[in-house]
Amino acid sequence: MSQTPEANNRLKSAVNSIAVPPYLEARIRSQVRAQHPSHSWLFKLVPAAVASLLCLGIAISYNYGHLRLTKASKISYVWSVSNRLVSLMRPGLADHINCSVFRKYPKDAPAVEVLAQKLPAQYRELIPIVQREVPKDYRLLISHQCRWDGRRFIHLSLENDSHVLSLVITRRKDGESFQAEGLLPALVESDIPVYQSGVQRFAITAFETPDSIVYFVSDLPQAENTRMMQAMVPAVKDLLQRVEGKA
Amino acid sequence: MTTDRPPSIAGWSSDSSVAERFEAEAMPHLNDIFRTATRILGDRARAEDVAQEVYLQAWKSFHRFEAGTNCRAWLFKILFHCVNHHRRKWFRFPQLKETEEFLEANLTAVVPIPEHLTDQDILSALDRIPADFRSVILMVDVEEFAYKDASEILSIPIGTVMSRLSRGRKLLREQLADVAQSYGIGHAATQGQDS
Repeated sequence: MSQTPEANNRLKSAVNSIAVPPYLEARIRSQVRAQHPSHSWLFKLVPAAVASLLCLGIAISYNYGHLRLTKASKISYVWSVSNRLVSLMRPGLADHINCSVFRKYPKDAPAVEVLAQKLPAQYRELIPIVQREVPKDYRLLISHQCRWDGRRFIHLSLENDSHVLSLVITRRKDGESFQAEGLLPALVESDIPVYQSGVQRFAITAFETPDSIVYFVSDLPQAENTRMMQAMVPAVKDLLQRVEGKA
Repeated sequence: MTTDRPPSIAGWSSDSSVAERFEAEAMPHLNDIFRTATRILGDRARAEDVAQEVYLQAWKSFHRFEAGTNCRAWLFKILFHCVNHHRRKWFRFPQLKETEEFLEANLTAVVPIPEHLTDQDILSALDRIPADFRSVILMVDVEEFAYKDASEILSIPIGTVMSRLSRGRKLLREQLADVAQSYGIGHAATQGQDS
């Protein structure tokens, strides 16, 4: 049949006799209307957009790279801040910034008993001393031994919703003393001269024992920081005398 | 088109130039697409669904259609893509079960063309031949695509188009002869041919 023109015409005629639903065209137009056609020029723009974003990312990274908290940038920041202080105030502030400001700790700190285990046994008594003298809303976040710039530290850190405090103790090196630095004490507590200093938002109060230097660092007002330190000087001094006597 | 034709796509679309092109180049082939879909699928409701799908896909990918090329062939290619997709989904769709060797072996001799058959008889006969042969007949004999275009539309080699066309035509003639015989037409002629 479909080999001759006549036969082909019969077949075409039969197929074309199929009635097309009158609504089909309108339905298709309606569906097409609801869709947006793809634009070839948009597809061509994709590589250009990716390249632009890449360049933008590189430029931002390059320009704001100093904000990234790499180890080098942290060291740089610590030195840039602490260098404005007399040299013996620097270790306490540097350790506070390094451990309490830069580090990320979980919101729910471990139990005090767990934290206490991270301190050498002879220093664990520091925890109740500090907790007794700071307001109750401060929770203990850190109690550990740490190291910064060749010094070892005993470090306790506490925070509430607004402030971070640190009690930092380090061994005195030969010849180190606040008096030698030319600092005048802010006050004397239990026969111990207490010194204070501050830079940027940090307040530092410190005193020295025969073998140790004790720092209390926070972002509190200087007077409040010194008041808290003053309250814990007698107990801390007694503890250190015991520790240093045993040593 | 009649005066009550629905508003064109161009009137609605934000990209009116693309919509105008689509309206002018694609929409006129809707009837052919629907009729072919009906014959391929054997079901008007499914044919409507597939025709809508064809136009939706065509619209979405209209940026890939090169102006000046054969839009009708492009639409038919989309149609068969949709049909193949639905074939997998609608497993009831009659598949080509017979191998080509089987068909070759079982084809009867050429019979005279019945002259008094209705369009419905012809369509029924067409529907009874396997879908793959029917597709080729629809593309070449009804839609008058060249073998090369049919080959591209159906995604089969041109040699397969030619062999399926030949065998499909023979099968169609056989089906039509059977219908004619049932009407008492062409029986003698068939007997004469056989003898």
